[in-house]
Amino acid sequence: MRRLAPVIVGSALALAVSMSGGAAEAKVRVVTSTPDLKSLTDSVGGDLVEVEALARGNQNVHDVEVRPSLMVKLRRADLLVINGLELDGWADALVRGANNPRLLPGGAGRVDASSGVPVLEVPAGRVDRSMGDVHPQGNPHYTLDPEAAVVVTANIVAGLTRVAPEHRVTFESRRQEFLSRLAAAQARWTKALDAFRGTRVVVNHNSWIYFLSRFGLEQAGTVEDRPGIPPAPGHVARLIQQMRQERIRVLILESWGDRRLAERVAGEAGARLVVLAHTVGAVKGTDSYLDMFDYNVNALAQALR
Amino acid sequence: MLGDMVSLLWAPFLMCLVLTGLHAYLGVHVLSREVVFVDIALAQIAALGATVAFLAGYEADTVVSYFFGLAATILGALVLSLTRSRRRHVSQEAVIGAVYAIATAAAVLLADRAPHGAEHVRSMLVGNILTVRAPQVLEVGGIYLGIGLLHWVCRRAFLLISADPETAFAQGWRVRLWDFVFYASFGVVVTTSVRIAGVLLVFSYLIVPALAGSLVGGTLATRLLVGWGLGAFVSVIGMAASAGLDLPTGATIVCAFGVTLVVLWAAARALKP
Repeated sequence: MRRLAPVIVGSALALAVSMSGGAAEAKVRVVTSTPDLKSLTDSVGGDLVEVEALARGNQNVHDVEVRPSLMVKLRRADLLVINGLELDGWADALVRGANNPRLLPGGAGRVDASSGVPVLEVPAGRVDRSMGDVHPQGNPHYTLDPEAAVVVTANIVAGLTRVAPEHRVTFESRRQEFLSRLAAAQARWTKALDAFRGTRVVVNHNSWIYFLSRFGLEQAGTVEDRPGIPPAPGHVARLIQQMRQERIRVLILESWGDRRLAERVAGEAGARLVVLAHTVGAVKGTDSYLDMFDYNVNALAQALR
Repeated sequence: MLGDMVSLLWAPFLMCLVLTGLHAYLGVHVLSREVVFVDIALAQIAALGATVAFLAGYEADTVVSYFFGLAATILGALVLSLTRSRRRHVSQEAVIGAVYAIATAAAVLLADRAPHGAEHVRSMLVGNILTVRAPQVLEVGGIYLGIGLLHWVCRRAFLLISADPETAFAQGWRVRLWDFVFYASFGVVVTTSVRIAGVLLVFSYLIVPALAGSLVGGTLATRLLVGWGLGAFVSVIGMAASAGLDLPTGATIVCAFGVTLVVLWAAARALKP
């Protein structure tokens, strides 16, 4: 039986190769941890890059099921773009498994998209485990601030230029083109949410602070007190009471959150539940970075009306 | 592309064979003791131990964290060996169920106090066979070889107690002590393998080959050979299907076990009138 193994594996592999076909050689091969970073890399790389995201939009990043083809892509990748701030530490186990040391910390093929981004909620002073859930490096959901894309795309272009210096000018001009489209869109979004400046909303998971701050809204509380763990009943009761007192009208839920609990809280407090895309592709019709904001801004404006 | 696939998959494949080697054997014990979920309970206890380590300030995947997990597993082995009753007032399976539920809930409560605690509990229980690399195969192979030797040396006691505890008691064997050694060694194995391959895959390697062995019947040697043959065969098929159809590897192997078991069962029915 064991002697037969190489033969069978070999023929299956041959099948796999014939099915996947040969990739275009000249393209820069990029793997990103999240769909947001994939979309941004596509925007600056265009037809010069081939981008794959490890996590899909509608999935909790912790449930990433890796297929062999993705591992092969990681193995062959020239560049890895990660979110950083401890959001995607899981990616490194895959990189090590794919045996591509260029993509490990310190490697030339690694881009930490968060570098230079103004980070919110960085704990002041000493961080201690007894404080409960604290991100020692701050809140990692910065891609939900459209303004952060200016720095993020600069980081991506720097990485792309390291591995394909001959395309430096093209990458940069595409970035500028994308940023001007983003600026135009952002003016539109700001206008759509302008009437709601100062409005307080409640969120399910603490991933919306960048988005809310950008558009002048305020976060009054979170349903989860610690990520991934059902909240204690006292916390939920206090939140509902607070929402009633402050007449908070909207509860924002990311698409993979616990819908039943959020529905219950919103129902008891007399607020509307609105499901927003926490990442590109999380909700139907959010296939690019700009589409995601279009969707989120419209859905939120409608709920607040 | 082909070269990439081969160099990506050979270490995981070897790991599958290593898993087959020890788990098919341990599965025989687990089946005759009727404690099929003991691996999941012990893995959960190890995760609880690692959570405690994390709260005390030791990161997951460090040596200290590993030993916390190990210590918790050995404590679990103690509970399992002490709760065995000679006359079977209480099924061992009930104790295992209770241990599993309590260990899981305790980990949730502890994780509640730690940043990203829930994720760390998960990372103890979710392995990914595709990320296995050559040094790990050697490391795990070494540990399993040690445990295998222990079981070879103590084979009389272990086999007798698993197959016929009543006789073992009557002959004056110190059954609870041997049970402790058995569950502790078993705990070391599953703690290691669950981190590598995940609960589902480990459970399948433990139960299905041994089940196929007992379908065929015969002596222990025959059943072991059938189990090893089936485990190796399914590893090849599962790995090949995962590569060829681009499916998640662990889940593909588990389903390949299912299909093979059905075919084997049908064949056994057809042969025996």
